[in-house]
Amino acid sequence: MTKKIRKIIFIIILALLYVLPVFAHKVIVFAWMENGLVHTESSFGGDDRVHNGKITAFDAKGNLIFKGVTDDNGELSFTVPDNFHSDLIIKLDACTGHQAQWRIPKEKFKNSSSAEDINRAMEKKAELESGPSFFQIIAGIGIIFLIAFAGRFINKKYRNKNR
Amino acid sequence: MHISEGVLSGPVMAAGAAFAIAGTVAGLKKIDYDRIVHVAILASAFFVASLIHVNIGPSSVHLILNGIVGILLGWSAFPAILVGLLLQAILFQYGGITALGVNTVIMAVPAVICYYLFSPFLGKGQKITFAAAFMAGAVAILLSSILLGAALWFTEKNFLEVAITVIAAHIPVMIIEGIITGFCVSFFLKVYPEIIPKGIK
Repeated sequence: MTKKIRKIIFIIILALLYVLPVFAHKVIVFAWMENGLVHTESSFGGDDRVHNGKITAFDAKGNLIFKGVTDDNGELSFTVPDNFHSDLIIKLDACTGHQAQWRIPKEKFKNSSSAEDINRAMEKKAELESGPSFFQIIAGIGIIFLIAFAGRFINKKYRNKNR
Repeated sequence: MHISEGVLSGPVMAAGAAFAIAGTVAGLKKIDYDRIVHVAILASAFFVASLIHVNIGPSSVHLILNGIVGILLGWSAFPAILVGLLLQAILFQYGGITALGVNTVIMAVPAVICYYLFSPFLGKGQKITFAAAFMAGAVAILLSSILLGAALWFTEKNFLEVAITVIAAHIPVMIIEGIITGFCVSFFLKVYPEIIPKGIK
């Protein structure tokens, strides 16, 4: 192994070290119905909650139904009017260009949620909040190097053609 | 620093995409394909850096490393950052695909500016190199914050309020990135000077 390649591998390892404290940064708002209340949880992924994030809820026609801010746990619960018969669109504005939304279908407002529905909702929440896997990170770096070497190959071919 | 899907207006996204394409084409023309591995290494560092973040107020900030990418790659920072952002959007759901052009401009334009401002000082002594790299890391974040504020301002928000919020939220990142960039560039000059742009060593 040449000295140059050893250096390159060392630098790649150095770059990978940045990953050690892995946290996700995607913005998520998750909502579900329970005991007649709409519960929302907002996070940047994992346990990283959105504090004081602006939550707005609209019906399918865009009429404002509710407005509020999340607490320190990224949570906010509210009720909808008794005669509400529409999908509920919940928007989160977590400041500086971070935005997310969640839709609760209108059927959820007709029938009360069963324990199974809530369990399913929690599983979906955990799935959304999970951070990037090590495989995804390695795959991303692999794709970057693949693109780079493909670019070099194409450039070399183009230069040889023009000689 | 990544603008999410649905935040920006159509004209802002279109303008961002046009600038990003122009910058990427210029970057691809200027890449030294014999040194392509340097572009890949720095694009990889940029790709993973955003996984480290700090909660500040209602928002969350993370490392960006566009300063080090810019000072070491110059115009090649455009394609490197574009690919990094595209993969972050696809694999990590960071930022929107439709906002990719604007996000690229927000992070790559300051990188190129920092290249012109600070790369001439690299290799002029240990302290000057560290100071130039520190400034590149910090100024890149400052300029990115201003561009982010401008992008949100064009989408019917108060520029001053947004820009101040973004800059205030990123002050710790400016300092951290300045230090990281300073140490990394000084380290590269010692152990792997080939990564420093030609004519600067």
